[in-house]
Amino acid sequence: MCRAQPFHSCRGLLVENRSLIQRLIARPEFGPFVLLVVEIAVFWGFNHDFLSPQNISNTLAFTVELGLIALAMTLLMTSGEFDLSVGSLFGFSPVLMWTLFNSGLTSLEVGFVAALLVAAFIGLVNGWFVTQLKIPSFLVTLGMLLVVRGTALFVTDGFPQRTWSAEGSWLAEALVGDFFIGPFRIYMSLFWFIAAAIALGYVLTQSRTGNWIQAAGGNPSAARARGVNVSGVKIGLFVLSSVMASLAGVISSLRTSAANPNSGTGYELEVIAMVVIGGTALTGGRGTIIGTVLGILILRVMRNGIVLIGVPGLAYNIFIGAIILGMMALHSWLERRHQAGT
Amino acid sequence: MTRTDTAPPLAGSANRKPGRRIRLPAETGAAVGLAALVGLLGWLQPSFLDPANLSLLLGQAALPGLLAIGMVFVLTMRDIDLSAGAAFHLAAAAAALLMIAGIDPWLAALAGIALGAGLGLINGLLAITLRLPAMVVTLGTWWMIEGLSLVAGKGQTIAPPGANSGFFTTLSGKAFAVVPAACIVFALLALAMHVVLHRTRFGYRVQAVGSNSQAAAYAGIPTPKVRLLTLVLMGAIAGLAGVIHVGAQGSVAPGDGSSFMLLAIAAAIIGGTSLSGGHGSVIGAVIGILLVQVILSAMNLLDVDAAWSTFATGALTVLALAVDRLFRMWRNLRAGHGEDNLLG
Amino acid sequence: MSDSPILFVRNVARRFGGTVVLEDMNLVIERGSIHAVVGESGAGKSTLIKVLAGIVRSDSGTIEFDGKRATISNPNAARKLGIGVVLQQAGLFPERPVLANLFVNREPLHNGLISRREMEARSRDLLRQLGLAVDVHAPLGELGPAERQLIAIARALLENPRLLILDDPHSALDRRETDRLFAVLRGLKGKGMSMLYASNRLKDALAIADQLTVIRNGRDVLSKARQELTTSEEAMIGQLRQSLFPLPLRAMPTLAGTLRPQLAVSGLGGGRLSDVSFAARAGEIVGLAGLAGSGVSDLIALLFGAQKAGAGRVRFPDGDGLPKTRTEAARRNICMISGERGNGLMQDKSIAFNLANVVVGARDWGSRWYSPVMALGRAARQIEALRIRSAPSTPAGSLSAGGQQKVIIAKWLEIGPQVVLLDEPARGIDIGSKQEIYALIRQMAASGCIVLLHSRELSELTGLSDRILAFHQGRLAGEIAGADMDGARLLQLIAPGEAEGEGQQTSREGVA
Repeated sequence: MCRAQPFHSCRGLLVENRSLIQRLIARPEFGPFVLLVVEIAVFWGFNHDFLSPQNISNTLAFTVELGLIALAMTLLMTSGEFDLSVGSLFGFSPVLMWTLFNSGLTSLEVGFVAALLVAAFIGLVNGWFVTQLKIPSFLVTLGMLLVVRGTALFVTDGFPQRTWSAEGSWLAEALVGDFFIGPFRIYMSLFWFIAAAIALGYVLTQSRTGNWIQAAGGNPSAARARGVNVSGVKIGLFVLSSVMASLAGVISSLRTSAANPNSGTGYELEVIAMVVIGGTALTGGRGTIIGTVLGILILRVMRNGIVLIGVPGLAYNIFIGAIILGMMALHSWLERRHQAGT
Repeated sequence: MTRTDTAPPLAGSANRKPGRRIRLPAETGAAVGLAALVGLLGWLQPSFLDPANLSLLLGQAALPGLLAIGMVFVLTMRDIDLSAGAAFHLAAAAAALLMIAGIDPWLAALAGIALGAGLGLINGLLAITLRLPAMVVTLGTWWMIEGLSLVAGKGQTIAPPGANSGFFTTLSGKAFAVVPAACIVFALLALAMHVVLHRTRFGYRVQAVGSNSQAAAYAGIPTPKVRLLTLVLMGAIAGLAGVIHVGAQGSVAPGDGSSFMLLAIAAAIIGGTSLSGGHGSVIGAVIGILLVQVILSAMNLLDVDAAWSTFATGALTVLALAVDRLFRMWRNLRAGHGEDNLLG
Repeated sequence: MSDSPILFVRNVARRFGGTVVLEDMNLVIERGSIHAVVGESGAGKSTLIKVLAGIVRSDSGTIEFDGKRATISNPNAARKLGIGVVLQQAGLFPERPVLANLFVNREPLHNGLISRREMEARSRDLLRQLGLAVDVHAPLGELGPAERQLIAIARALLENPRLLILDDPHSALDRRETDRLFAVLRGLKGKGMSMLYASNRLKDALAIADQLTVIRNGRDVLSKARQELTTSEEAMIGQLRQSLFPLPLRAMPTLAGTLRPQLAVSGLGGGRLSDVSFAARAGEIVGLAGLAGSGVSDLIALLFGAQKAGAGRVRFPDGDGLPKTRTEAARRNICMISGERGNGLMQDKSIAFNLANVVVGARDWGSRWYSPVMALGRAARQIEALRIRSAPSTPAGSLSAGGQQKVIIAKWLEIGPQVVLLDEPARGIDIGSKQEIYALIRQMAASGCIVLLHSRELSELTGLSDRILAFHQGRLAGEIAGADMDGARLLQLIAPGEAEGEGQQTSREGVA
């Protein structure tokens, strides 16, 4: 490995002369990309229906909703924290929105805004407990998960909420209006997802805020010494995470015309798995939106694929757990190789 | 500008007056709270103190209480086992399935406990080889074990036959017509584990590793082995709780025990075991789980909506965590540490 | 530009728990000058700097910056005043590229997005001046310690502070790099920057400083302009340190000669270390000297089982080779006591608990039970023997730094280690406790242990060791013993540079 010599780094004065291909391979997102391609190929090999327009459209519709949460979770995990309450917010927010609407108090749009604000407040509470009381985010958000879920159950008495058809509401059109491109049925939510991915990707890599996030996760005390408001950044990210989860839940509810207080159960772990597979470090300090997008696709494709092959859908959980562990093992191994080299 | 000073006084340790302060055991707060709450509820609703109700309460507290005891060891080691609830369920399901397959219930129970221990062993091995905290590892294994349970039970309630067999009657029986069998096991285990934690070398090691694992390693304490054994212990206790559940209830439903893990953590923390590790109290966890159960049962009695129990479990956990943390911060402030470092 | 001093520090005091770190500290920095603060570790230099940087708040005292009363309550406040700081713990991010590290939270923005081009442009000249020819897009972790230290300095310089504070900035730099750095600092001084430079290397401080302040036990004991410093005062400062070290205890006659148990190292290689051979005998204190990156920390890590060796053979007194893990090392009675007390002490457990660490916790034979009563008895004994000023059941974290280190040493004294590895054991400890700890170290050696001592304070090495091994760039550069042991010779061996000797340096005009 590199020997420390005075005035010369081991790379010397010359700028890297590696070809484009070599640089691409070195990127952390390359592995997930290969995995995705292989996976799609394998499933298509088993069942050609896998790549049919109908299958793709169906898969994509829900994938995008989970994806929104994963994007926010990427940033939060880069700063070194987790949010396990996203699943419960996914179920609670549409319930809140529809309850307000059905009671005749407000229009759907105002209900929507109210749901988002409540979610933001919950994110604020999460962030406050984590940064001010220094309780591990795991536990705080786990507790909050139950609090929110319990509230959702209470509001609906456990029954799925009635929904009116949301036809004609401009909100529904804006969020989940669907149309056809060729044989594919596309929902508006796909564009929202792409917009969010691009925006958050830029923030993470090209803005000062993104550097704050990476610094907060990589070395919080060094970040504070440089004047970064680590607590503020984390609280903001918790709010973002909750709001995204809320938005995703509303989109899903409008698309399926249903609002079930129990929906969203278990999503948090799947989202974390997506982020981790994509290459974002579990311990924080390093994050990639592109990787997360790949991770989202990998997991959803797997879910869809194994059902198509005939494996019981319940087994999906086992896969997720195994994948999380596998990725952690991989990261850990890479870390140690890197350390041994320096 | 010049200034010279000769022979400055030694500005070393400041003089500390040896204070005579009686330090109350950490469990006092929780015990007082419990007594006060029971008293209050008994006054508001006399039927609360009815033996049938108390017996029910004790029975409900026993199983998460067992998990809490195991969790005390894990927390003392500065870690968390998130898969405890799932292990509980899988052990119960496995034992029940074995009984359906015709195996003697007692043997099936033993197998269930062994399965729990095995799951703990896997957790421990993963944590050691991956060099990750158990909290992260058990996040993955939680998911996997839960998946296995679902697949094994096919999402249905598993009801082993032979409700008259000795196994079931023993475990669903009551001593002195009041104390459920599960509770007896709970009390015995609590006593045993209390001794283990405070009077054995293993317990000493758990405290040492939890307080400062680097220092423990530097002193020669086999840190990986301690972590492994603690997680195996947790798994075995979860398995034990699972098979008792089968015996006492007679069946295993898909949702059973889903909140047990959080309840166990909340109980341990309420009882004085800290998230930062190094200190643990089994007695405190016992008081803690009773306290939590009293609150939940009180809500039932006062006709509060059942959905609130989910809410309450979560809120209680967060509150317990917050109070624990605030208390430590307050104690730090009083000791004069102040803000040692703004950088945290 | 006015002539008044840029910084006044008056009566600043600060204590951490039971330890008084700063007490009535005063300092005046003249505008446009380089002011050196000299003192051993534990004297309070780093805390003073942290106070000025806004990382630690003082308990009392006032600070005036640029003629105005200043409250530096957080790092941002320090930055707004125009104070730039380079700490010993640099606070860098190894996984991020060098460029990102240079501009953390100060990135130039174009239309809200970070402008990499501007960052490159701004840093190019400065890096060249410092002699850093590195790929700024490579991760920082790939650079060696010397380059990393220079990057930390560059980072502070890029903000153009009015007052630049450096805490031991050249601990990892060799002679040539240090000279380069000094040239840059002098250049900046010419442009009007004021500097506060903290170090424990008196010779270097004398070379660069216009003003000098000696800090001891949290106070300023001497404050003078460099030119006005008399040779007798210079000697006194040097002397202040010598008096710390107790006389060597004569090793017992029966242990003399080659029959004493020994630690034999031959051809050892690993990490940065290559082909190192030496032997150490029971009763000896062998000093290990070297800059960061010289391989000394690797040697200690290898002997303690924290790192795997690449080559070579080692034979310990118990007959076995290198331990494979730290736990194995500790069980073989090879102990490591470092200045990082976090590695040896369980802060929230009682002293009695801590003292039982090795005796109870680490043994696989013997009783499976732990008796608190016996632990208390053991603790009472040790507390008395080592003069630890506290009751056995108080938490170890409440002790002063010196007291804590004594507890760490005491727990090993219970067992009687075969090899004691010391890595800056007296770092951050007050003078009084230091003396007691030095005496303990001598005692350990006299009772038959093999003691290997590493310290960055050369005076500590020369004062305590029977002989010193000097390391440079991973190899054994030389060994000095007896009358040859002095700081100047040592420095030459561990940080060789161009022909310029130490003697020439002090006589050169230190004021530019």
